[in-house]
Amino acid sequence: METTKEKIKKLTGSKAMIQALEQEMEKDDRIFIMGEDVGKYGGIFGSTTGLYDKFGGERIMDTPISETGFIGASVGAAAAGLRPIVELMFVDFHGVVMDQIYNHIAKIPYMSGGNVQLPIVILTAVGGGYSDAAQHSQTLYASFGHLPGLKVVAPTFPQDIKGMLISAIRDNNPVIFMFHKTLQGLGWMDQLDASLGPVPEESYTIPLDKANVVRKGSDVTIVGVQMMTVKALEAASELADLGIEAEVIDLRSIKPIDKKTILKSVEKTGRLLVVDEDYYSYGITAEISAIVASEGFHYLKAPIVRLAIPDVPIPYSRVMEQYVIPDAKDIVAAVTNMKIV
Amino acid sequence: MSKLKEIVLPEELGEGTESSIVLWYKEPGDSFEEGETIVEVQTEKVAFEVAAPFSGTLKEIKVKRGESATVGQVIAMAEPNL
Repeated sequence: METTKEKIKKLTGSKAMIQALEQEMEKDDRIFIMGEDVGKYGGIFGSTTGLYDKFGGERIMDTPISETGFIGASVGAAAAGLRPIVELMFVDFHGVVMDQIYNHIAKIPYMSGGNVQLPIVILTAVGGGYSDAAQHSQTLYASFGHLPGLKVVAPTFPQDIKGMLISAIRDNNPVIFMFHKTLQGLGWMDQLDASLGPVPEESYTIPLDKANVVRKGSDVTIVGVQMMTVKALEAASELADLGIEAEVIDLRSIKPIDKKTILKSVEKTGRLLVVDEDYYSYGITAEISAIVASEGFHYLKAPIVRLAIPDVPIPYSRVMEQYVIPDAKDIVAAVTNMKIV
Repeated sequence: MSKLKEIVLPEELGEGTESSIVLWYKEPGDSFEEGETIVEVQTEKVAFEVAAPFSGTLKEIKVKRGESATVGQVIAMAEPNL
């Protein structure tokens, strides 16, 4: 943990987000934040805590409960030269604001021939695992990844959260920035080790289109994102005890997707498991499987395996929820079933 | 080396309140000023930042992140500045 330079502080996911927002807002007064409870309350998942006291109500703006209204307003603000950041409290609430997102935000830059840029960041909390039921537990990575005109990112670890949020804010295109509730490191949720990590104090960027190999291995490639990356890493250490060396890729970016890193890994391992906290059908597991089947088929020694939430609403009941969300033991079972010798 | 002093969970949180440690801003070996936030805790109702009661250097964390403590409980030991 000792570094040659200054010691790097450990922060939670939410503190990493706040640091990114604060550092960018200090530099650029065109940036402002709108959303429900983002002001004095600091965001229900702690993404804006302390910013209201620092920047005031003109730049950290609490809005009425109308996503249609404030995310719609961000389109006009961005077209007029500001750089709005809006928080869609739960991604599950996207339904009421989808026209603003996919007909306006995603398409105006294209339909104006690039003459109107919309540098908007939509922050949104995703994920389940804490009994919040079907309307507050989805990730919906694929629903946004499906739409042309949007960049969609979902970083896992605090260091990536800060660097990718700074990149998203500086990007002149609209970016959907998904943060996982469990990885925010909040006191009232389960406190995971993964939600605390070293975060450099200075400002830095991490690209919005690169996956990251978070564990090296030679027998099988496991691709995950956010909590599924965390579960894949847990599974990989259990697999190591069984003599199987798994390589774990943290996808980080849903769109654009980093095919190169995935294909390079599968070339080495010959086996692929994709694990997703989104629904099974038409999702990330299907997309990555299709990429590898069509561009890396000759690398494969075994059929591709997919783990995801079965096509059912996420249950409230803790035991039933744990059953539908892929866990480390499901990953271990899936990999051992591949019969690696 | 001067004598170590206890840092306790402050009374402002309310008697009998159980708090979960959310984030230690300081690690053993780090110095801090009086009034500086050293740890963030979460009660059933609020997140609360605990300010350092004196200036000094953190020596030992007694209650780690994710664990809980009650008001008045010793959560860390520190060496005060002379």
